Amino acid sequence: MPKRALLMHEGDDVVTVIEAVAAGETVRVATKAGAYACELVSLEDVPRFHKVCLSPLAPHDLVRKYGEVIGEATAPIERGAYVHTHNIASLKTGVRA
Amino acid sequence: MRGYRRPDGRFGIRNHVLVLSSVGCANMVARRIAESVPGCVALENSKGCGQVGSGREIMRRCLLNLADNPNVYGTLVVGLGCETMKPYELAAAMREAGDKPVEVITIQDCGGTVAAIEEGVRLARGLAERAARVEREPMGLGDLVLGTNCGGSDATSGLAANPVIGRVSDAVVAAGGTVMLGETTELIGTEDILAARAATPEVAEDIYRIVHGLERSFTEAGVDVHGANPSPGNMAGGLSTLEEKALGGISKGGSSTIRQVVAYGERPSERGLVIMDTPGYDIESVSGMCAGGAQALIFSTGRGTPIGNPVMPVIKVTGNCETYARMPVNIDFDASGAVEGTSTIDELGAELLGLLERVANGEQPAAEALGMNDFSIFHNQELWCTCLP
Repeated sequence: MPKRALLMHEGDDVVTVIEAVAAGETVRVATKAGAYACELVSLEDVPRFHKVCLSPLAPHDLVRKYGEVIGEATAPIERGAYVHTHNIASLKTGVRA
Repeated sequence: MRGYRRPDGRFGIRNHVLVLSSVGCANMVARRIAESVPGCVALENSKGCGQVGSGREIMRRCLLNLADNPNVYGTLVVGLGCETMKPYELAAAMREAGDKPVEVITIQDCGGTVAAIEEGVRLARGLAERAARVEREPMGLGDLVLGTNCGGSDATSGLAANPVIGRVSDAVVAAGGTVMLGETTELIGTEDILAARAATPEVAEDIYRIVHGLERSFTEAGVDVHGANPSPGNMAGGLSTLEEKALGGISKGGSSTIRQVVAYGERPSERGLVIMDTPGYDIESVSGMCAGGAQALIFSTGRGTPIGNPVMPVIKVTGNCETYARMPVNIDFDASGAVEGTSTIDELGAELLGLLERVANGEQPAAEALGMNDFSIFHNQELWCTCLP
């Protein structure tokens, strides 16, 4: 059984897994309305309700969820990679050095 | 729905006698009085003295407006006697502002705590006896001012709990009522979306003013918000950035036009969706909405939080089925069906609206039944010692 993930808005760069995913497992992505969107293979272990990358990102690329910008990539992120504080950052907060 | 009609025509969904402490020094006396008289709730004060500038104004506005909350039948102000928040002057201003009964004592004038408790109990009993004679009358959903708040958020808050609350917010607004969206830190990154929904250019300007003003004060103070917001628990729950948390958060206000931006603890003059400039700290945010006249508040929590409020019932909603299973004593509503795909946001919204109506009619949500009476008024200016590391 593939693991389940939610795509909150068309064009989002990330999906939210709704069960924990292990590296190498297939993730079936559904839209908010429950329609099939796509499948991808997770490259890493991802905890429940955390995010997986859908479209590859380069450093400083904007990251979208809910159809809106949630921050920028701070490292290259491949499709299927775990997306969290280690590779994306807020554009709005933090004292910039 | 049935509520308690107040002299100004608004409806309370509770009929409390408020025992309001004008300063922390009077908290124990206020608590003892309220514990001794059924029908009373104590509001303990985290400050009330040693306050300067806008901190003093915020405290005064909130104390006056708390007595004005429709869930309050009447108020007993309990002071020490020498505090910045002059208790007799507060009581006089409350009487002037409305037709509700107001009594006042100070510990110094009563001759100590024992005498103050005795006199306070006597006055509170008189208020409670009169309050008990008020009966519920028919009221509508449009008579509600509904507060909203997020606390202990995780990724499910934005996926399920907040959108479900948003459906209730839309229903209240459509009925002619008022909904409050707050937590200005958690509006950062959503200001363009919110401003585009503003009723007038002035409201849009106010939205930018509070959000950009807060960002500027963080920068000027050299403070990195990250780590405090998102909090460690937010991040463990899958929220990576403040923008992500905020985008998930604003959906609890629903989708209607934003009519007004009000200051912390200020009563809105407009109906419909309003933004209150509140801090991200839940207890202060909820307390500010209570001062602003909310009779009930719906609170989304992914990780689970027990907090309540002494004056208004707080309804807890989670989108995380594990949290619902782990903390059933503290959570009222499970919205996780929207994550699991077993229910829709609309279905859950209708169900939550039913719960809100039952709570308005007297059903106690978890926080109220457990006596969770968390309360704190935001105090912003602390200049009395350097407190340097």
